[in-house]
Amino acid sequence: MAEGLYNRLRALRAERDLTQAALAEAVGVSRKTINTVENGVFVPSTTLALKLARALGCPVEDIFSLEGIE
Amino acid sequence: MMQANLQARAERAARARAALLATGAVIVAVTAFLRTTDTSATAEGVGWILLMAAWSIVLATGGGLALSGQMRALLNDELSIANRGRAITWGFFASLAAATVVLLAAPHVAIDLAGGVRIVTAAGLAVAMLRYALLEWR
Repeated sequence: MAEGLYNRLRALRAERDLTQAALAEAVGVSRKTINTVENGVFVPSTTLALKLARALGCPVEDIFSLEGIE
Repeated sequence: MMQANLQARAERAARARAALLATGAVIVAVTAFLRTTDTSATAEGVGWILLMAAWSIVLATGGGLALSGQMRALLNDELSIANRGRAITWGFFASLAAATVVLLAAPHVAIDLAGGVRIVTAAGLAVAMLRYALLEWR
């Protein structure tokens, strides 16, 4: 996991009743990429982060934040 | 449903690619040690260069050149590209390690230039391919 980076992608996706595959399709990446982002294994590019925010209909800061800064 | 199918097919293709690369890594490593004479200017030497070039292209592009653009985009998304970068870094250091071993072994074992080059390049390519396969498989 990237040190200090916290993400709420799994929770936000679940709130919208989206599967990993559906979200992956919406932003044009593989389901594995969504899975690794959710698990903190992979830190996405700014472009993908913005696409995720657009697909979930929320600001990117709602998905990603620095730990300790809320 | 069609989108889910595309994702499922992309996952299967990624696994197949990982298996192919792992197999290719073994082939490259074994082939490097099958040589018995100086083959730098022979058909075997040319074959070696072609083998290295072919696997290098697969490693650099992610392969799947015959697949649709949409499928290729999923197979080579940013996670896959990042994994390739990490794998190639491993390959680079494996080449350096192999070169060091060849250098240290040279006074004690008869190694000609072509043989040394084969060992160094095979180590770098095989390790990069294997590392990429492992990253893509998990």
